[in-house]
Amino acid sequence: MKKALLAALLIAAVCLPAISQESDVIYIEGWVDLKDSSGEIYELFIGDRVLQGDSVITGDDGVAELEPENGSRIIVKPGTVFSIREQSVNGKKYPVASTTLGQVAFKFNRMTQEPLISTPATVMGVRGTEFTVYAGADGSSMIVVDSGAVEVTSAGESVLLEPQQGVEVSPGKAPGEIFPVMGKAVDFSDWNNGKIDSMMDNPADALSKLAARLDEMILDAEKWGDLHQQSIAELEAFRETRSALFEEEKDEEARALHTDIIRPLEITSLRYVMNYRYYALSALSMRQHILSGFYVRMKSAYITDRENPVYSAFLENYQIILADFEQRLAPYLVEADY
Amino acid sequence: MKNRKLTIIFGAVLTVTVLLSGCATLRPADEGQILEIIELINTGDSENLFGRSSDIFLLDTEILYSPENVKSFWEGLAESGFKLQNPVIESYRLLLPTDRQLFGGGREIEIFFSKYIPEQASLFKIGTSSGTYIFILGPSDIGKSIITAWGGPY
Repeated sequence: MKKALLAALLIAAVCLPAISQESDVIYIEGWVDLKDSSGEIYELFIGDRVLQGDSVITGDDGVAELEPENGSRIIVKPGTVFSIREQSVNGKKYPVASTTLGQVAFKFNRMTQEPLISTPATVMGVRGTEFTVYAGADGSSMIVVDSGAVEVTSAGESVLLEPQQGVEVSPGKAPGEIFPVMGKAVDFSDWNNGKIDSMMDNPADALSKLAARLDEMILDAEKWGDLHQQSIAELEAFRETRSALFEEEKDEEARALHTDIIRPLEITSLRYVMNYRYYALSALSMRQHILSGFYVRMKSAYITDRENPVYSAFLENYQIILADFEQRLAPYLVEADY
Repeated sequence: MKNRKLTIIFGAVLTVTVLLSGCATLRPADEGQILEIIELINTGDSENLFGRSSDIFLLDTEILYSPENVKSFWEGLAESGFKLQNPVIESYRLLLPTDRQLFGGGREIEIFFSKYIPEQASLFKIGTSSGTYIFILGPSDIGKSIITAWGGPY
């Protein structure tokens, strides 16, 4: 799996007890929308709950502060797309807090167990910490720790961040050099604008990197989807065997087969579904917010120079990426996802 | 956000209008509406364009779910000095479900048409010296139609 982890296209925090599947909205400022798991979009208000499957989308003046059940805090800053999903890790189900784009500050307290923070790009171990995740328009990410410690792993390499330290993770790469963060907080806007400038300077390269990461996400969805299909086939075979055992009046053997084999396999199969959905939704979120954002910038930048070969090449490759996305990911998405 | 503020203002005006007139009906956008939009584009008024854009916006084959991307589009157009040169309203009519083909017609576009396009939306084709553009405008009851989609140039 690690080889397929993406470098910061999407920052997802998997926290064991620290992030519950439901969070209360305790503060709202500016424009904040909630897209629920049925695809409906609402304005978010104080007192609402953000549930598993929901996405919080803030405008450039929007801030949302969420309080998971254990009293921790998640602060979704302006211009951010943040979701709570589910993933199965080592056979156990975890809520996943994903930042596709923008800036989210996490403040964990009263942890009964060290949370594991993981992303499609990185895996982070957290020890009683406050930290901020930045997800840039080019798919890169930056993690800055205020207190506690965070271990960031990407492309098979790890770094340990201590207070007032940060690290940047470029897409598909190992974490970069740890840098000190003294005094003034990192300005997300400046950092992200630098990423956007780099994208626009070399759009072919930027698009290629985004496409590669999107492909990795889709591959992960396909991998879990294939496992699900295999498990379905195995379940059908085992259920037939169970029926045959009952017909032969070997009830004890049939019940043992159900308890020891079929039931665990059913649970495993559901976890495969959870994981292919996780990667499919992650890929969709990246397509909807990162790739679309890139298209918008290219379209508006080149609209008076549409014959420019840079733009023509971008459009050609972009359409190929979209066609591939739609064809391969469609089996794992439903209408409500859009 | 501007869009939301405008919505609130429009909502307040609408309430008063309804109280005064006793009834108010949505009307499909007309030539006056699209001419206003063209004027906003040609004067680079990205703030008002953003304020008159739907929260979820269709740009060619792209559905923009984030207000940041919608804002970025209008600001980018203004920065590039883009104008609809010599615009002519080639046609306008109520939107048809089959018009999704004009935007690529994929699964996402089909869902966008079913979920996010308001009833009585109108399709405008604007000819310019740089090609034809397509706009979808929502209906209006107080004279300010919301832009739901931009396509082109073709």
